[in-house]
Amino acid sequence: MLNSPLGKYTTSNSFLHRLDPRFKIFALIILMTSIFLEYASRLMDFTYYGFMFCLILILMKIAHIRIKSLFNMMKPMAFMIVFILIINLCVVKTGNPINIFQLTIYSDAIFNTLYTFLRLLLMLALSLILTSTTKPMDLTYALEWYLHPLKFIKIPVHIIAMIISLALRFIPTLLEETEKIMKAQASRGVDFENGSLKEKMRAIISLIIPLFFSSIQRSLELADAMEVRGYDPNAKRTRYRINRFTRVDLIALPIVLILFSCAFLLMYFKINFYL
Amino acid sequence: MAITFENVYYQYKNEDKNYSLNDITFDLEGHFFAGVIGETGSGKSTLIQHINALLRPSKGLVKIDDFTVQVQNKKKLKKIKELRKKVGVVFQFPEYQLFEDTVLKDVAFGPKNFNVSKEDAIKKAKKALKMVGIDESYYEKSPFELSGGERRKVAIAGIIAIEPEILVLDEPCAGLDPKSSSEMMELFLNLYNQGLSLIMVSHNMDIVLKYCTKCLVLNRGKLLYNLKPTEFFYNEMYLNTAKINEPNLLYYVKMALKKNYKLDVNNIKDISSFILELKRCKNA
Ligand SMILES: Nc1ncnc2c1ncn2[C@@H]1O[C@H](COP(=O)(O)OP(=O)(O)OP(=O)(O)O)[C@@H](O)[C@H]1O
Ligand SMILES: [Mg+2]
Repeated sequence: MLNSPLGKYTTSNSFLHRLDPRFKIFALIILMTSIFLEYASRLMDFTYYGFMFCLILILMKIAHIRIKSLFNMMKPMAFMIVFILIINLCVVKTGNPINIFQLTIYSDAIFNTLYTFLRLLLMLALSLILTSTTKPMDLTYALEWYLHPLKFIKIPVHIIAMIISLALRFIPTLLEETEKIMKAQASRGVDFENGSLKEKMRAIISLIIPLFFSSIQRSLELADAMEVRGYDPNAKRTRYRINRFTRVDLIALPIVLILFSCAFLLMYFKINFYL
Repeated sequence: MAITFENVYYQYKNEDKNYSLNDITFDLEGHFFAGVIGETGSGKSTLIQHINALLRPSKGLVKIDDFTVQVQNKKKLKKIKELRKKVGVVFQFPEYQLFEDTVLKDVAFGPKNFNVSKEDAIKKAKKALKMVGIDESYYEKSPFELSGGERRKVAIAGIIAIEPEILVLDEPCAGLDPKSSSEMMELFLNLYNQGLSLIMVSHNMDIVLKYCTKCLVLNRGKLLYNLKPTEFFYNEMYLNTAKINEPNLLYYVKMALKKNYKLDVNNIKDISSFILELKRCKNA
């Protein structure tokens, strides 16, 4: 009924699953940057996007991620894309004018939307690969590692990391709880789908209050449970699982770097197709 | 009153190979107090959520009087509401559903949703609270200040106040002290005697033996037996197949049987009926 908004981790032992999460975050940032570079011509841009898309499909295949989950992720964006298209059509007045019925639309409007769409698609696909192949816990550890330098300006990075990992851990629990409460209220005649605005408000209140209450209750209990087991937020933390840069990372790192260098050179020297 | 399940299958996730309900077929007719028993995870809670269409079968159909619940048949809203008025479900952890600022308002919330006027709803709420043994000093308290057991009672009152024709209870006595628990059971018995039909999930076999008129035995999503409690509990083989521990009472009944008392076990439902039966044997 309800799905986690973040991509779900899928258990597997693929090449991508075995990569160091720190490296995966690095690669994600690098590849995303390359998507936002401006290449010499539109044709170059689209060629690069096409290439990236093929690469992503291959990676998804390797990591056993279904194309369907990417499609599911894109579905909520459909409305946004249409909205952007309309705005573009109204605002952008450059490029070739095209007459459709009585309306004049400009080619740039279409291209702008297409750019937004493709970039969004590629970005979401890349993050889907990251979240599907990395456990949320490992992801927070990796983030913590990147935030390490902030320690020198007295920011409690490990506490923030603990908060993030707890929050991530409780997303599924919260969704489960939401479903339970919705069912209990539905048995008392609350209708979450139909009804006037006032009834809808009431329905939502009957959901939110118990949800808040149980979340607060749960967090207090969790805090107690951590404390009785001797948790000290300021103590030095050690980990059961340690992220290690392994051979697979050594293979993957140059590939990503070469890919990015190529993209960068393409942009920097404005390399184009010579037809 | 009639509840019919016809080859009902239910699967929580499409990818899953195993069904949480697997080919369930039974019917309950007339006036009944049915117990649903089975190991943890055997599908009891899943089963009862079909009775007021909170879950819809993946295959098969469920009929409650003239309502039919089947795969994604998008019934009109009004009909579903009618069904939920007819069948009141108290969940396994009902205390999660409390949200109003006072106990009284919270119990009146249900009837109000079914288009009962505010005054009548309050009246019904007071009646229901009295039944479950929550007295007037609690009316203006916040539901969040109550203890776990009190919250459970308030939540049960919240469903009773809707005045359903079938009351479905998922482990209503879990977490209650023995006294409240037996008071609660007496309340249900009372409602049964007033004409309500009840379905109760329970892990307490003595309670099921004592109160229920029927018992549905589940095991790993399959319905193994649909029998009278005495027929089920006094059959060693049934108990073993369903992996259910016998009621405590059985220990003493067996002891008496070993001493060659010619007991008619069909009459033995609780301690008092056991003693009556023993006396009868002695006199015979
Ligand atoms: N929301 C859910 N999502 C996925 N699977 C579920 C969900 N709820 C229950 N299940 C599965 O369905 C099966 C039956 O669960 P159900 O809650 O009906 O058991 P139960 O008989 O009520 O157990 P208990 O005695 O512990 O309450 C279990 O194997 C459980 O893992
Ligand atoms: Mg259950």
